[in-house]
Amino acid sequence: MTARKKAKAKTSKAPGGAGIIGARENAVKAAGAQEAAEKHGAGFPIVGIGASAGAHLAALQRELRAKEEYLRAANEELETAKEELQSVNEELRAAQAELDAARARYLDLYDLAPAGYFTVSEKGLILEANLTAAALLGAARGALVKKLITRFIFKEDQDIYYLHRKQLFETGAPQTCEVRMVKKDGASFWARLEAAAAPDAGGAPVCRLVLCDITGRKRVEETLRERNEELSRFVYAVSHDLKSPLVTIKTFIGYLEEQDIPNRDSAAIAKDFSFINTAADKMSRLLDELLALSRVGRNLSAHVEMPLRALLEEALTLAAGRLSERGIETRIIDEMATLFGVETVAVSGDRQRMLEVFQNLFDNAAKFMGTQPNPVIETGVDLSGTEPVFFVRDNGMGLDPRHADKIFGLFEKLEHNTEGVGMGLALTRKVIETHGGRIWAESEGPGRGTTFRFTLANTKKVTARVDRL
Amino acid sequence: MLKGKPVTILLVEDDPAHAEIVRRNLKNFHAAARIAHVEDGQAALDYLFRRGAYADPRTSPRPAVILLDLRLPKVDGLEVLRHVKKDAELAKIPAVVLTTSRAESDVADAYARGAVSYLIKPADFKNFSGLLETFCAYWLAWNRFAA
Repeated sequence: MTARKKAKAKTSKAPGGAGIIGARENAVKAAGAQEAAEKHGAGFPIVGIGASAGAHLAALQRELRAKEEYLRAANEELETAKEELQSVNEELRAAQAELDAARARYLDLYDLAPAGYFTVSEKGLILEANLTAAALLGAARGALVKKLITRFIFKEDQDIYYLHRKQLFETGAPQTCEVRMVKKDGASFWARLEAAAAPDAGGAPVCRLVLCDITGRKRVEETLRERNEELSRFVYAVSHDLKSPLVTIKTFIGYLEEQDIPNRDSAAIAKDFSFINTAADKMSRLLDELLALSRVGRNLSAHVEMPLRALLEEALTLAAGRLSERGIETRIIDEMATLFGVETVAVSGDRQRMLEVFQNLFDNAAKFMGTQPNPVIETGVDLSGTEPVFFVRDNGMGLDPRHADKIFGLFEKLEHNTEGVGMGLALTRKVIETHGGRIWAESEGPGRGTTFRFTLANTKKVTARVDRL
Repeated sequence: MLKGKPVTILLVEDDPAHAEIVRRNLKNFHAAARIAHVEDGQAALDYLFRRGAYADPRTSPRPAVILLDLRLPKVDGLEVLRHVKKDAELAKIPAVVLTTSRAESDVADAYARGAVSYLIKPADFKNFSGLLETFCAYWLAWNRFAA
């Protein structure tokens, strides 16, 4: 029985309620009896006679008393009734407050749950949504209702949702899918939808949908996938490139044993040993550099902020041997004049690794300078774009733009006869990527110089000095 | 069995030691074969399409068979295959892959791109010599090429 019904029942059962009517009736009856008795006694109506006037007065007094009595009784009854009503009212109020609190609690649970909830019609119209759902889609709740939920799902992912809905209503079993969704402002996020089918109050099938933002998880998955790909490329490179010198060593040992030593062919013997030696050296260099590469991702020292100029000057000093050997002129271009003074940047990162990046690029530029009679390396930062772009530019051999990406691959070399095992740029790229940046090479073609450009996360623009007031 | 003018084998191999191994093992077939050796994929394409230094057909004769490594500087072996098999005339030249890679994906890709055979370089003198001997006997003695 609801609180309201209970209160009503109480009212009808209360003795006072019936009492009010009873008292009034009794009083009326009493007055009537009095009148009848007087009529019988006198036989005439009361007019102008002393005795009868006295009797009349007495009758009036009696009537008045009876009425007073009636009023008093009625008043008492009313008081009781009022108290009754008050207590019922209080009960009702308490019940209402309890109801409100419960409703608020459930609304809270619904609206502020850490997941978006939707009720969606079979046709895909949003019937209800909680506040979290509205917040996830960056829209007011009112703006969601009666809208198709597919409006908020990436076009490319809508088929995933349609299949999900079809399976839900066909099988009746709960379904889960992952789609990219679009907020009202156009921003996108990865969402997991968990759906259960249920009949609504009228029996029509609806879908209850839980929406969770899984962008963070997707990002981790993506990183993991990239790492795995990197690892398999690494394993591939290692298995091929380490095996190659092994094949050489084993085969030339075979030539020595089977042919050249028994034949005492000293020229051939010398050649065999030379191939074996070269292959063994290559293997040892490969192993050293593999270790170096595997250390890049780990063992990152604490990031420090350093002015670009100081970093470049130190890296140039480290590469000075090779640069002067080749007679290379170097220039630093690390500033840009702006309205507010001269701007430059401060780099944030592992100092040692940052030095290696520039040093590797200087070494690389020196290595591929070719026959350039006036070799120049320019290095610094380009501040004209939206994000600072670091560069190392040379006027050396250049490269075929078609091969510009291949040079960053592990053990990739464009020229077979150059020194090294093709690890320097792979290492450089890895350092830059672990610093949240990317690197690419540009060249207008062979003989026209090469420019390496890269970005770094956490690069801060600094106004070096104010030249004007 | 061995008749007519010697055929040319285009050897695409960036490792000088491995090129030397192939050359030594083909010595016995000198009369039948001539090796044209290039060290990267770009040079292989230039040779086959007769570009630049390889423009003269007298010094760069059309090969009867291509012996191709996969991991090569500039343009890798699979990419060389793709270009060669797109050209109606060059597509007639059989390409034999000779590599250290055992990767399933490389084997599958090589066949998908038109390689006729996939040989893995053995890390063993006898086997490597045996493999090259069989290669020579098959391709230089028995095989009949398109004109």
